[in-house]
Amino acid sequence: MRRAEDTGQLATDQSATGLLPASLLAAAKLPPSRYRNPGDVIGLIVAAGALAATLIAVRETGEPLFGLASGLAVVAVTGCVAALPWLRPW
Amino acid sequence: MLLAGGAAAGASGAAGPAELAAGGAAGLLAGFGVRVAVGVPDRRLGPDGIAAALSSAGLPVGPVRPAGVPAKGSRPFVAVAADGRELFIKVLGADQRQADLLYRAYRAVRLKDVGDRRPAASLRQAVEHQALAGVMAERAGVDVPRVHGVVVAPDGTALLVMDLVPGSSLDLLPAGEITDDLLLRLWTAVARLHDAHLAHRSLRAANVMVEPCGRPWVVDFSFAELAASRRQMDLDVAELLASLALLVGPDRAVASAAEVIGTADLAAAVPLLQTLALSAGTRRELRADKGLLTQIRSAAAARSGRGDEELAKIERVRPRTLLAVAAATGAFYIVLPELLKASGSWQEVLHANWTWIPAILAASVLTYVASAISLAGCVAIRLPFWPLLTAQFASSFINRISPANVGGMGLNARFLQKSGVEPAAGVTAVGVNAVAGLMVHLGLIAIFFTVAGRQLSGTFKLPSPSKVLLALGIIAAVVGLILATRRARRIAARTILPRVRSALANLREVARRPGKLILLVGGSALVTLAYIGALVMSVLAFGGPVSFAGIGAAYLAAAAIATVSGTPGGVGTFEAVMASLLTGIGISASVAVPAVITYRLATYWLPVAPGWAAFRLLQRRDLI
Repeated sequence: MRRAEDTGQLATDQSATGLLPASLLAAAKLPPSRYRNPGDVIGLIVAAGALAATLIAVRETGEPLFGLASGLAVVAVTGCVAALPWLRPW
Repeated sequence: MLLAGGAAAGASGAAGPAELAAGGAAGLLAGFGVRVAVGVPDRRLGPDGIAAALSSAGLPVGPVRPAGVPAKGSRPFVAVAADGRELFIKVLGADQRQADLLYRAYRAVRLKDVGDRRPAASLRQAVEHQALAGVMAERAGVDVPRVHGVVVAPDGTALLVMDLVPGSSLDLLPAGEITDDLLLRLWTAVARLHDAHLAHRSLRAANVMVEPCGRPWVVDFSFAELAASRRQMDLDVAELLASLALLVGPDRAVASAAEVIGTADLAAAVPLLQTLALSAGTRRELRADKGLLTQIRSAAAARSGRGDEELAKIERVRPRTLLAVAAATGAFYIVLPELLKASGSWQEVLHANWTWIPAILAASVLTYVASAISLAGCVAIRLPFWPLLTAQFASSFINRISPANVGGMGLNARFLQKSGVEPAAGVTAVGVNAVAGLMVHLGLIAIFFTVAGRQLSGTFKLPSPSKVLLALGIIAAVVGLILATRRARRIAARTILPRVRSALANLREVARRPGKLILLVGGSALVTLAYIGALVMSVLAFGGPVSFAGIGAAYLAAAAIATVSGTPGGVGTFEAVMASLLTGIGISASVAVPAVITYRLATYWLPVAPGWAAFRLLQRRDLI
């Protein structure tokens, strides 16, 4: 594996995982009480792939793309996914 | 409530499942986007939790505090143990594991032959492996931080507890303090690691701690490999050479390496002295010192007595190639049907007359057989047929990710070399095959356009003789202007002309053997004719009107245009041009688009799977 401290660090021993996320995620600073979870980046990539696949499917079936139901689904899923980490008790 | 509303809309038939799925996927995308943008609450194990976890594992410590170094691969902390020793604690949670998996996936797509292995089955195993590598390195006589244990906290976070090494990291040491003795001790540590078949896999100056007395310590075994391969050890040498050269210059770095590890190991690292083989940190520093990497490579090659400085091929696919393929594929499969008013093209494909499909697939297979025949005509020795055919499937797979078929040509050259053909002759044979293919293609264009005649007049408007002369004049002027520059003349004289002469000379050589010439020309022609046959049958499968000559001419024109598009297999360009030309010769868009999709599925996309299998088979049997 290439490096992770590819993160710039390592004056002392430390692990090195994730150069790509490291550089991607370091783009904007967050307050100390929050951090960016690389798992969310994975979720973002998977969701983008799922959206592309379903858009092609919708186009083939000829269903309307943004009806009431899909609008509700967008709002509901967005809210749930975004709020979940804040609701977990641990 | 919103979910219930959506579900109710779906259940009542007001929305289809695909629409709901699209809405859900868009919601996921937006939700994760919000998380990435604003972050999530940091509930990871903190200093108190770390102290409690260590205490419960029998390692009581005083107050735990962050190590104060920037880190993303792990969260480093320091603490003082009950016996007074200073401890360095690496804390790894699920987030580090996910980042690791993401990065490994990226590297697996991008690079090859850089010694990457599959990730550990769990975070715990990854940390245990790291601890074991540290212990093995210590046993090999290398100065490394002593590992005191691995502790798993109740929330699953893994802690690796080690001694804290005093001093400064090598990359932060003032240049005057980096003595020759320090360099030799460092290379001695590397030699000991490699003698024990350990590869560090991140051997850069930042991962070397230097005590005030000048004693180097190798740290961070997070990617270390036990039972390391030769390639992994060579990468270690290349990484340390580059990293040291940034500090002490190429000559001192190379000289110290040669003195300890020897010229043979130094020579093996030369092809790996390239940016992609190095860590991102070293790459970043090298960017500020342009030309240094070339100097290191030259110095290492000269010192080791290596005659060449050829780079190892480690890039599997370029990001821009992936982007080009994705964009071109998307453009055709989504946009083009809209433009040609042939919506529902994928559904149209399902309405094909399926009795034609086996014949289309057979024609697709025939192109590979013909390609093998053609290549067999380019070499003097007799090649075993099945491995040769397998190589054609494998090269088509490689061509899916390399533009202008260069990957496939390289694979064929390698296959010929492994089959007993001299390396130079193998490269020449592949070149001759390409030249012959071009000539056959041009010949078939002349034949098909002549036979198709007037049918093409509405599609291809031939220019008047005066316009042809004007175009030729412009081309001659442009070539003349280019050749007026010294640089262009030098490139033409040194690179282009010798290759053209060599290819033509070899073509003449092949022409002296009638049997080989028949194989070469016949195979090349059969490749093209089989493709045309597959396309004709694809049109027939959708009930379209068929003119073999007309479709053949359209195919030859589309293939020629797609060749210069730059995408692998001309993907995107070929489909767009082919569909347009088919409509130009009188085939309706509702037939042309699904016919082209079917043709491309059979001849381009479906062969990817057997191509990949063929590639792996040739690798396993050491035939490439």
